[in-house]
Amino acid sequence: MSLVITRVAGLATIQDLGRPGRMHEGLPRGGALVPALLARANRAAGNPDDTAAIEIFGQLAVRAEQDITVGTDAGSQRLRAGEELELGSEPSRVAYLAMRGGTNTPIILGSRSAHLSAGLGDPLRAGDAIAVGDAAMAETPILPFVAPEMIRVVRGPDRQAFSRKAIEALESGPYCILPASDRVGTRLSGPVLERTAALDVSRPMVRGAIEIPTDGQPIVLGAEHPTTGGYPVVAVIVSDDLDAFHAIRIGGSVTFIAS
Amino acid sequence: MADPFTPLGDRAIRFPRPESSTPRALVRALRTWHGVIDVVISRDDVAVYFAETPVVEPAQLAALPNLPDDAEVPRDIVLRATYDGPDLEEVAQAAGVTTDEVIAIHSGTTYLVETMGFAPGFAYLTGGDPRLALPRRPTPRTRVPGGSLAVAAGYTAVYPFDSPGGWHLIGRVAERMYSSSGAFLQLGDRVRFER
Repeated sequence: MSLVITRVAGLATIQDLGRPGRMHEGLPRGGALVPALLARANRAAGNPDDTAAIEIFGQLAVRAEQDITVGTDAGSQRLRAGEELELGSEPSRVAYLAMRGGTNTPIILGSRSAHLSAGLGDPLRAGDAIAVGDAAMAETPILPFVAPEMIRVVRGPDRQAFSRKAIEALESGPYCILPASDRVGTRLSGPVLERTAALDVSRPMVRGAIEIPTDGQPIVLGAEHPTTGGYPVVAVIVSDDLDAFHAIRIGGSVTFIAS
Repeated sequence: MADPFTPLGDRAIRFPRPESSTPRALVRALRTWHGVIDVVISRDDVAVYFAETPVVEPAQLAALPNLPDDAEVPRDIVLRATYDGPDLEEVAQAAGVTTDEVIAIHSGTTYLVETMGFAPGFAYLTGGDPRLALPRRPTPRTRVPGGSLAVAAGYTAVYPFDSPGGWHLIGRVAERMYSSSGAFLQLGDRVRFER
């Protein structure tokens, strides 16, 4: 059984929860940009939360080769053989399409996730057939995905590189999510953060770090972030708010608040 | 007294790297801490990533200097290099030697994988000849081809993938630095370049 990709506008990849445990060799965890939305699609499809599914930035159309149950943010859906389904990431940054049973795509270093910046996996293209996997049936209630109005941050660690005013500017917002955003980082436009010092050396990074390049416009590190970087980090998004932040659509806005 | 570590968000901490322990011994020791998922060692810092809120006792941090190195002998890795990079001539001029001498100096040195970061499989190699320790290029290239062999700031490295980069390109390496079996180089490896 399989789904055939008939059209991709943007980026579509297979994602599960990625590859923890390899940051010391330069590989961040990767995986779904918004694990909570992946889990919702999986629960709708009757899969365990960490099952691999298709992650979509933009638009995707698929055709069922045989009768198949799929899950999306809208719930569960039965596709008849030959039936097409179109799915877009709006009104979020990304959407997930889960097949009952998951995908039978290769497991590399413990995960089926495409990690394009590490050369692992490929973007999905029209004509690709995604075979259904054999993930066990799971019946888990689908939880609502509630986005808070403000995204909480932990200030620092590079406070010495910013004035008090710059830290307040970050929390004054709002910031707009720019189209140049991708799985590596989310680019923001809003109040400029003046740096009082530059780092002279690369330091360890983390998903959710808000780094400030020379133009003063924040970049928030995403699923495929570099494990080290040379821009100072003004604050880091609280882990429980990362999904809500990464779910904000391109062109949407975000306001940060100190936790 | 200064805090022994700085929060890096709510699931990670960062602290100064203890110089007296090897990077691989640090990674091994830190991964035994309760709840630790990942460790990153950079030139001056260590970051430890936890599944939940980090709980770290002062005694755990106090035990990190002077760790015994891993029992296994470090691996000796030979990378096959072609010295034909676009910056070879410039590096020779800056070092006050000929391009042939740059190649002889660079391939006559044994390096050490001291830290990894920037990109998957990107190893910062130390131990290079000080004559080739040039600062980074004033303007980074927007695209450095994957496999490029480069020097800057006292390091040598191979770019694993096409990426922006500000180092001086002196050649190419045949081996893939990251693949489906993980990183080609590991912390603690001794590395030579063979023409």
